[in-house]
Amino acid sequence: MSATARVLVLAALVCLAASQGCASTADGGALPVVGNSTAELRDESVQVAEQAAVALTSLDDRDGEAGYDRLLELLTGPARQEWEQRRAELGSDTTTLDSVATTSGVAAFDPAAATSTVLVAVTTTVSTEQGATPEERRHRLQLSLISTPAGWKVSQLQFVE
Amino acid sequence: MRTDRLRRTAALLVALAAVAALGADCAGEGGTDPPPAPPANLAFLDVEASRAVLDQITPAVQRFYSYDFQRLDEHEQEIMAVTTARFWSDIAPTLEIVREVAPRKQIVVTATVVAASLRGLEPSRAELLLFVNRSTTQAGAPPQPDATSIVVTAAQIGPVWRIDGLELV
Repeated sequence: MSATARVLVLAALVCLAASQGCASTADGGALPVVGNSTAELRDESVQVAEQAAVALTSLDDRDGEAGYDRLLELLTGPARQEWEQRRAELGSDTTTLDSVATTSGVAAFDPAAATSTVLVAVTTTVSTEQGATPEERRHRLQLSLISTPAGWKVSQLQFVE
Repeated sequence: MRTDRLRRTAALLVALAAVAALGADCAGEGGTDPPPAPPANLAFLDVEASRAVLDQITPAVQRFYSYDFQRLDEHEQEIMAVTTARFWSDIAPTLEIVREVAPRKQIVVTATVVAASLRGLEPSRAELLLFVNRSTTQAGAPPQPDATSIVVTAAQIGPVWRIDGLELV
C-alpha cells in the first residue's frame, strides 16, 4: 500500500469513528431525551384521563348518542364493557350536564408496563329544562389507563366515594 | 520524488480537512450544544422522590385535619411537626378559632386520605391532589361525612416533606 493510500485509509477510519461519535452525541444526552419523552407519555395519560372524566360526567340527552361515542372512544377493556352496558340501560333524562376537570394528578405511572393511574376532580353544572338555578356537583374519579397502539385508553374508572 | 512528496502532502491535507469538517458538523449537531433540559415536572420520573413525598404528606394531611376537642394541644404539636413555619403562621388564626369552638361543641374530626396523587414534583417542592374524607361529630349529633378534594403544596426541608399550603378544590 502506498503512502498516499495509507493516509486515505487512515483518514477514512478517522472519519468513520468521528461520524459514529457524532451520531452518538446527537442521540445522546440519552437520559434527558428519554426523560422528556417519558414525561410526555405521562402527561398524555393525564390528558386522556381528564377527557374521559369530563365525557363521563357530561353524559346527557343533548347530543344523543354522540356523548356515549366520545366516551367509549376513550375506553377499553372492562371500562368499555361496563359503559356499553350502561348505555343500553340508561333512559332519557331532562337534565343537561356541563363538566370541567378542576384538577388532576398522577397516582401511579409505570412507563415500562405502559400503565398509568390518574385522579381527576371534576365540577359538573347540572341544569334542568324548567330553568331552575343550576346546581354544582363535585366528582372525584380514579382512572386506570393502558397505553395501546391507538394511544392511552381508560381500562378502569371509578368514582371515589 | 518531489512530485510524490507533494502528492502525499496534498492527500494528507485533504484527509485532515475532511476530518475537521466532520468535527465541525458534529459540533453543529450536538457536540457542543447543551443537553436538553430535564423535564420540569419529575412526578414519577424520579420514582423514589415521588414515593417519599406521597408517603410523608398523606399521613401529614390526615393528622392536620383530624382533631379531638379533648386533645387540642397535642393536635397543635402534631400540626407544627408537619407544616412549614410560614404555613404555621398562616393558619394560627384558624387554630385559635378551633381552640375556642371545638370544646364548646365537643367536636371530633377524623380525616382519611382515600386517594393520593402528584400534580407536580420539583427538587424541593411538590404539589399533590388528595381525595380526603372527613367525619365530624358534635355533641348530641350524628356524624357528618364530608368528601373533599385538596391540593397540597409541599416543601422539602432537609429529608422531610412538610405541608406549605392547602386549597380545597
